[in-house]
Amino acid sequence: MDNADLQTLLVACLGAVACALGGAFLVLRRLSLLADAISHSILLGIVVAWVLVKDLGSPWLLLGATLSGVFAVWLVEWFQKKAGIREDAAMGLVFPALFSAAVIMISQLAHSVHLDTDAVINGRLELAFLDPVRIGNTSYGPRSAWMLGTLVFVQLVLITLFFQPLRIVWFDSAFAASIGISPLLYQWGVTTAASLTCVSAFDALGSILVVALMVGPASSALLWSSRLSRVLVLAVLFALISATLGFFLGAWLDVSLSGMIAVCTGFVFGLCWLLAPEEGWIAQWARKRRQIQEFRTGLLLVHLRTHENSPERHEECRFDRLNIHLKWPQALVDDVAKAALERDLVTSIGGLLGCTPAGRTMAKQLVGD
Amino acid sequence: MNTLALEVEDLTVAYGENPALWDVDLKVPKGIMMGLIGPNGAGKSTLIKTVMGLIRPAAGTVRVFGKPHGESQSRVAYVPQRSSVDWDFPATVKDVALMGSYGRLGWSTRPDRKEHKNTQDALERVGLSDLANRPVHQLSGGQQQRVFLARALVQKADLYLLDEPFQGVDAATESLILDLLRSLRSAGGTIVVVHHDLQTVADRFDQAALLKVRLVASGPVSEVLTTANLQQAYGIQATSLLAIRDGTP
Repeated sequence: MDNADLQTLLVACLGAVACALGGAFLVLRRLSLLADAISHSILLGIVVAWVLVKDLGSPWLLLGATLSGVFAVWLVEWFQKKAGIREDAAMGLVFPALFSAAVIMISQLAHSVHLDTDAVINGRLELAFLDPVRIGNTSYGPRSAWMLGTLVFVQLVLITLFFQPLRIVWFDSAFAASIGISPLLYQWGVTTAASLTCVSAFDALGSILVVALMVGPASSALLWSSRLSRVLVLAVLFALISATLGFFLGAWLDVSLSGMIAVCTGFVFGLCWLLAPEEGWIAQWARKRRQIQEFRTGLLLVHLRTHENSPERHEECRFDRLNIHLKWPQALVDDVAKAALERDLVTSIGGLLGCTPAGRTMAKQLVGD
Repeated sequence: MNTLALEVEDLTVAYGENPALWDVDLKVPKGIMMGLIGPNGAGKSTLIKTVMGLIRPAAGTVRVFGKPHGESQSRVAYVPQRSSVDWDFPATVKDVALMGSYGRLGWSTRPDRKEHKNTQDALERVGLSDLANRPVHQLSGGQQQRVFLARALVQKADLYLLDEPFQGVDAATESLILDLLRSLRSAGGTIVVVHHDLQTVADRFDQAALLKVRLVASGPVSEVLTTANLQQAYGIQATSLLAIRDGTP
């Protein structure tokens, strides 16, 4: 791994963390698609700012892009509230329109300039190291690393400082307003941060990866924890894992690094979805299996108890006749009876099953006696 | 000395061009439990939200303990409708209850041991101390309502505004909430509850206010729930509602 590789990895990791932090708050508000809307809309701001200043390196481009991201969110809200259009439809209306307007403007006004739409979607992570910050003759690492690093730092400081009010607004904005916290201030603050994140990250990462990193790590983290602080920490961790894994896989397979990292966020989410302790698929499957097993044991116990003192119990409670009375396959009877015997819930005397005191109590509870 | 906890004068609130409240005058004396009743869309929730400063009125004034809302904010606890929040949010029972201390502490101060103790006591009072560390998404409807109540208790307010706290909770929670509200009243608190069930108004509240965009009547329950008033608020349904109230089929 040479110096350029290290720099690329650094940019990828910083970008991933920046997106994961900003995106987590969108995901928590069920606004994941806003990441998509913002990341596409910022192009319009860039183009408009470029038309005005005619300089690709100008900080006005950054400002224009951030503003157009916020503007897109405002527009989505406006359509929703004033025009009565549903949220998903409002997003579907706003960002393709803004994005297409930007693409048309590029092709008409800026075709001689290096503002190509392909790079917007896929990013130029591999080339980030070619644009270092220089003071005199010394270069101090890629410009995007500095920008994203600053962003991560600012986000961390703001989240730490305003963790309590953010959490209150995000959980219950009406209550927040009732105790004097302005929900609008925090909502637009987060929107601006998310927009700035998109703007800073998309040059290196591309808009698809920006969206993947804003939504993926936070969604994965939500499967693991029910504490906001832990969700944020885990989102950062999953973002770092995805970026690192994607970087090495991409380099090894010689494919687009941005694309590979985006694939890895999906892969990490898939793993989490399988393995998470309570919400995970395996845990749920095991829980369901346990419940079915428990229900069947209960059924057997209730059946045995119902007939335990009756004259027909020699027929009803005989191990080799249970398959007829319960209408269960013999294999299932074997399984359930064996498990119940092991748990000391039933006894077996000469092929005749009966409840133990513990089994009787359980059967009683089940039928509510 | 001011004997009113809440005073609403000439209050008009509109969503766009549709008035939700028309020229409402309402006085809530200190130390009582008042039921805010009326049909759907009568403006009950709107009234509470306006008192809390969540909605800006088109006209009129709201005074809480004789002062404009902003100056008495810390003396009021608001309990929104349970369905107004996303219970899948990553937070524990204790996290939510602890939010009640924010008004005292502000954004820069972390809750100290005393506030944690307050929160623990509040959870004890609503019967949730065993579930303090449980994620809120695992709670039943009644438990969710109790968490909200615990959060209001942590606020240590003098006026409590509750939006439909009895909506969709089990009987045990219902009586727990009622006992709790009564003990708050005994301690000098004032309680205003948005309520739907006309049959229980007389048992539960000292006073009632009947809304239908305008204030139809307010005062002692027996004076408010008259045939004429109910007819005015509920229109055609009033006869059946009255039948229930009189105990005749």
